[in-house]
Amino acid sequence: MSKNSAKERAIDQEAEFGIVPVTTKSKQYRFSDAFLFMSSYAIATWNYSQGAYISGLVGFKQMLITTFFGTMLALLIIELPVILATRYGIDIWIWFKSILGHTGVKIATIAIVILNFTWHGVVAELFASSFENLLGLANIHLPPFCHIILALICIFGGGYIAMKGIAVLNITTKVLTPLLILVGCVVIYVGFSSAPIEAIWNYVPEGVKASDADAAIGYILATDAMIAYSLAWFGGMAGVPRLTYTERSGFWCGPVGSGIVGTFFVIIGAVMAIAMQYVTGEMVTDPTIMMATLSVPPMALCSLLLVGFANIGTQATGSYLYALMLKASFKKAKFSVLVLALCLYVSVLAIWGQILDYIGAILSLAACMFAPLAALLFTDFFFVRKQKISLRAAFEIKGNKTYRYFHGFNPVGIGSLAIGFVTLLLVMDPVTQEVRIPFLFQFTPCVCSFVATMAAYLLLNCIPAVRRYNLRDRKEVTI
Amino acid sequence: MSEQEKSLEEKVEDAISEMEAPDYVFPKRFTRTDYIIVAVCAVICAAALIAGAYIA
Repeated sequence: MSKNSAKERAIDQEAEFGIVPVTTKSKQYRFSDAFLFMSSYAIATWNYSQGAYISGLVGFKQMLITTFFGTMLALLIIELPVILATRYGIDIWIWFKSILGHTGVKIATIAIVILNFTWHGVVAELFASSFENLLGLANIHLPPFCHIILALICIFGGGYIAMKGIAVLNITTKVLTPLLILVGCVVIYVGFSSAPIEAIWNYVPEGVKASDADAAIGYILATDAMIAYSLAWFGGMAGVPRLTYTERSGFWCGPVGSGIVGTFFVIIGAVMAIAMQYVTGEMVTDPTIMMATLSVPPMALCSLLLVGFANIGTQATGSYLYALMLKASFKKAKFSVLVLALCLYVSVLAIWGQILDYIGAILSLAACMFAPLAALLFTDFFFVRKQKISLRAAFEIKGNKTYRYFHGFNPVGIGSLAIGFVTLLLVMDPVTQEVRIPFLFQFTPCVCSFVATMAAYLLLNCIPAVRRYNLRDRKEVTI
Repeated sequence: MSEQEKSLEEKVEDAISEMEAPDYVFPKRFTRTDYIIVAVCAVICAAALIAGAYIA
């Protein structure tokens, strides 16, 4: 292949791997394809940890409500702006250049990767643990150094698939997702069969039995945890809608794929944990141990699917979506280099080996960023910029500097973001979960932060001088 | 600006120009009905969450 045609192919691939707007003729995804992709991303062992965590806060009935309705409520609202991705063929981080400024977006995306991609460290860690447990059932005990090797297999296996692009991801998700859902149904059946239905249905954690106040705090924390779990999808939520044929399919793949399918697996985690506690006295969420204990040991091979392939699939889809996110800010960087950088970051977390101890605090801090960012995008897209943007300014075509604002930062967006961030911290300490303002806490810290950011951004845009500054792009809007 | 960056910028400009063309067909839009469905679903979810707080 000549040098020029290789370059041409690289540029063409920019639409798939990068930032070039995907026009109607290049769309690839029906709803079913998008749903399978988002479901594959959602299904990973992080769900079981989340399910066990929620089970420690509320009883089973309330777990079902907070898990499903909390997630769906959050996704229905935060995912609405993804229709911009379908319409203009761009990622939300291109739109964010109008809200935060070019440098503001760079810093925001790096912060999101540092905080949120830690989930992938958890995925790799649980992948390694589950395989060690699986081999342990067959009396094969691996030396300690194999733990890191297994984690790295998950990380770089997923990264390799991500680099191959949409075609390979499509095949992976089309095969994997239905199998995972099927195995999930088997696991939930095993869970419900292992303990009396009443024991699971009437389950209430010890801490909640103490008082009504404890029960109320547990319920609010559980709802907030599921909203934060939904917010974790925010960074990569537009990567798939960018490629869908219609705005409707671009929107619904999120709530249905990540929402319904993802929460199904959180519920599986909760059922497993409760069943294991009933049978063994200990809450365990490793599907390998659970399947071997509650069913016949060969069923533990199901964990190969539940953990092994699911986690590699999640690494692949997550690496693809987050590399796309970074590409919006670092357009000169090759997609494969960005995927590799993400893999190296997760590898450092895996080698550190303590991510599971700190993941709760890290994700609470991530929620401090995601809630205000989601509010900014929602408010700007529907109420301030009213669904219109200057694409030439967003891509800095011919040196267009409209979205440069003040040294690359838009003080209007940044200021509103800060107000949302501070609001969450005022309501609750995200690390210690100390409630600071009980009245606001009942609406959940994430909702308070979202509303505060939205109000701040709307009010600032009511000031004529601020509005003129923020909407300096209006004369350049051509679509 | 490198040659690759120039080519990339041209590609982006081509895509934008394509979208600006009067005969460009955008992906089918989210309709008013879609927004109403989303709003109704959101209200149901919020109501369920509030009701759930009173379940023992």
